[in-house]
Amino acid sequence: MSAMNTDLSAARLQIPAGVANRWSMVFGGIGLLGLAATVSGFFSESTRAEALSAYLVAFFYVLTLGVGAMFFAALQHLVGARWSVVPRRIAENYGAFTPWIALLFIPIAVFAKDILPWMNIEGIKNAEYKTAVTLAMESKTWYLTVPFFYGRAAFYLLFWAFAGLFYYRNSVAVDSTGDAHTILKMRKAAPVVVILFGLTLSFASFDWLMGVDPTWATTMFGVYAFAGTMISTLALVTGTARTLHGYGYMEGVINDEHYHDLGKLMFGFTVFWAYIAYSMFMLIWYANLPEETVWYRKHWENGWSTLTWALILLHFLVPFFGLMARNAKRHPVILKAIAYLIVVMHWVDLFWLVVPLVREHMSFTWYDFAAVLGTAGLFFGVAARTFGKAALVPIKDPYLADSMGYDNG
Amino acid sequence: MSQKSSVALEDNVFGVVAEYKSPGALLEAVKAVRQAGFTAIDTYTPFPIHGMDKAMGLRPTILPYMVLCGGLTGVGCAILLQWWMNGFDYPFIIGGKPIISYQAYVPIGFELMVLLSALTTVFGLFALCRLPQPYHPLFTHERFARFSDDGFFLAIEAKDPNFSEARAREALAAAGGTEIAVVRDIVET
Repeated sequence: MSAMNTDLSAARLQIPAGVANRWSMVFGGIGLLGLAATVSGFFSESTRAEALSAYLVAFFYVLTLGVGAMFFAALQHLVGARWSVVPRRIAENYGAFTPWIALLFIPIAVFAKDILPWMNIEGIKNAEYKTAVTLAMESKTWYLTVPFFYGRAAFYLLFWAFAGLFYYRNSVAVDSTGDAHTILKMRKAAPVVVILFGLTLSFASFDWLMGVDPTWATTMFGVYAFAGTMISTLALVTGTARTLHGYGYMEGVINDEHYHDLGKLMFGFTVFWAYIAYSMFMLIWYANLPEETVWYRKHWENGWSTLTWALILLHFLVPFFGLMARNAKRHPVILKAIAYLIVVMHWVDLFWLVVPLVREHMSFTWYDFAAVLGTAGLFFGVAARTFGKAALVPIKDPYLADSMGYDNG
Repeated sequence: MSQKSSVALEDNVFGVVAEYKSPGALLEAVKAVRQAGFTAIDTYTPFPIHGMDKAMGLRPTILPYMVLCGGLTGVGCAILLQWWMNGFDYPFIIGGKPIISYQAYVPIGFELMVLLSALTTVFGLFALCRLPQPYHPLFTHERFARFSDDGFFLAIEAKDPNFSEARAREALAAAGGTEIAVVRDIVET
């Protein structure tokens, strides 16, 4: 771009430590209360199933936000994007949450056999007589073993923690050194990180979400999880940018062009999510095989159709028409409202994936809300601290001037 | 045709045209000429120039709204088509599904939406740009062929209320223009 004013001295790019820590305490406090309430439900036989399904949904919710943010940062390096240097630090900050995912996984690891039914089915291969369940499970016995399950989980969690910290720490290091070699290092790691991200997120969704009904399988599941991860991460980055901007941060650094582009990506991935959701549904509906359609039947009967329609309306139609116009993507309030709507609806989406399989009638229990307030509270509590530690944009990134002068035309 | 002849009349001025060395120079020239009070201007370049819409003060296009109408028409027609044909005109049970199975309407609805959106985009663009345009007064200017190679042209048209040959020449020259020429339209007699 042409000569661009990159004087950052006037811009507010640093959240004062006091402010960041105060927000961290508020969010973290809500998080700990929520987690305590949820975990208390694990120890009673009567509430365990409810509390565990609520926790599984809430755990996967912050997992996708943290891992998705790490992926967003890696993706910008992979394609050598310049427009996104300004909003990239927001994603890097959220990506630094990834080590905490391993901590949040502990309850899942401990109570796995209470939420993943295949752990209780002994000797499927040697069963005396075959039932629908053993038949559906036979070909999967090599994959669904306890040691392999925990081994895979350890690999996903280690990789996410490593990759999240890698992109956060290197990017912050450039703030003081200004060393372009560090950028190059992040760029060289990007292809590996992106490929492993695709594999680990897909298999984690198979292991932890699809495994709730081990007799049922679709190869689309991993793509569906990715679509939800991508759209909610973009929405989170956009919403956070708008919120920080609203408090007077990043003024003169982030502008309508960045929001416009984030809005375009959100619009595109809203369509992608709907496309994948329908692709997953349509083939099963059309082929009409009982062992496959039963999954959608559970998502339709006993009141669950209401939630399904709500998802179609609020996760697709409202963001789709809401983000279509150029002016909407550049409008501070409309863009922020739709971004946060998507962030919330992503939790509903994950709830929709898991809970109809374990709860016959459509209902929300207070565990559902306690669990999501718990994990999301922790997520934003950790993030608030991270946001206060470094500048809100990569101040010495060689492409920062390009990003600030970027114009959609 | 043989009865008609084409002549250039002295007083039938289309406008004044100038050439600039680079896209950047043209962009600056457009800003300068608009600053000087001219509104009926147009640029002719081998490729689209980033930021030129804004510099020329062009109004946002209505094409997206036309495409939205095209797309909605496509979806609507697709739903009506499938609903009426399979539900009433020729009811036929397929795969044990109810006769009116809206779940199956999505792919056709999507396809017709894309088709009508795309057709509206292409033909709407042609209509809004008044294409095809086999003749333009600037074609009479000898150097104008270079607009599709390496020429960056800026023309101030005679329909501008502030237009006079002298003023237009002066503004284009002040903005760094070279090869400034008055273009006269051909009139059929």
